[in-house]
Amino acid sequence: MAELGIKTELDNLAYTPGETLRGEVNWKVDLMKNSDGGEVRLFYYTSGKGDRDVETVETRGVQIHSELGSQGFEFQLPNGPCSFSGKLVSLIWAVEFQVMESDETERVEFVLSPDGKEVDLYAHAEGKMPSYTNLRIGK
Amino acid sequence: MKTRACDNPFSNERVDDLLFFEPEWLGVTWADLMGRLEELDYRGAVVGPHGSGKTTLLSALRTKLEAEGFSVQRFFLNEESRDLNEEDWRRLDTAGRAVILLDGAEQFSWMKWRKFLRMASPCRGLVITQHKVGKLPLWLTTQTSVEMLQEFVQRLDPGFVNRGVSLADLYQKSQGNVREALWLCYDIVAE
Repeated sequence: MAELGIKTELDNLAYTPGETLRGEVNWKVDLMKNSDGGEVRLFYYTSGKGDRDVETVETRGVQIHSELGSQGFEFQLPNGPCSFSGKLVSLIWAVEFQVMESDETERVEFVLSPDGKEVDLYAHAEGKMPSYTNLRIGK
Repeated sequence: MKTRACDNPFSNERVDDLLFFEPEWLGVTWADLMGRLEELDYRGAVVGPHGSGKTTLLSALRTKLEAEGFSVQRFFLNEESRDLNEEDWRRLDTAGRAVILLDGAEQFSWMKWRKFLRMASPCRGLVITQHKVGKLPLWLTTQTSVEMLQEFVQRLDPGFVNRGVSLADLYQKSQGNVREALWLCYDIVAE
């Protein structure tokens, strides 16, 4: 069974659009079973009521040459969509590490928005929304 | 107190994680089910109403078959998509000795079903879901109960019982569709 880890630089969990997300993955694997390396994915997904939506934005390959190891990664974050939450749906950004021949994954969720805080749709509905510039909800 | 959608105990993510198939719900074991499927030469139908766990069962069957060394190809139909797309037809055509799993077989027209059946004939098996008996020999009937809904709700949100909501009423309102009933629970928590 593979032991996987992923963390962002300085354990930062809030980013602004266009910022670079840096981090590191680490692993302890059986090389006989995990010879195809791994992958780090930058993606977002929805959670709430109804169907789930998942969009992978970018991936990075991870070379696994030893049973124990680590590798850095970085992604330039897109302008949107921003992280948000309301009554019916939340949009959540994450980076995930998976070794190819295993179903196991390790994930870190983070917030992407102009002020580093998840957009609160409840506040928006009540007219308490901050006036963001360049805010995009949607691709 | 407003609940963020992702924190709702009845969110799609949590429900999907929970709704894996357990043969015990039907009073049988995997050995019983696989034995019966083998008797049918891996050609049979799962029959049950909307929200009774047919799709969940096919997911579990796929895992089970792959663990036993079978190659599996799965296809989906629903009211919005009543035919396979070109890529799916190609995938069926090249499926070789895979076991074919088809969700929502009742959506096919008679002509399309015959085409599907013909193309799947060289395959090692064909298991379909449908609402009524027909098309293929019956492998399994899925059904739900208020007790099943109570069990799911208890697992997802043990505090839900304190809200004084009758799960029997929710079950009836959703006409036995457990997933629909869990959406009603979602709405109650979200309010």
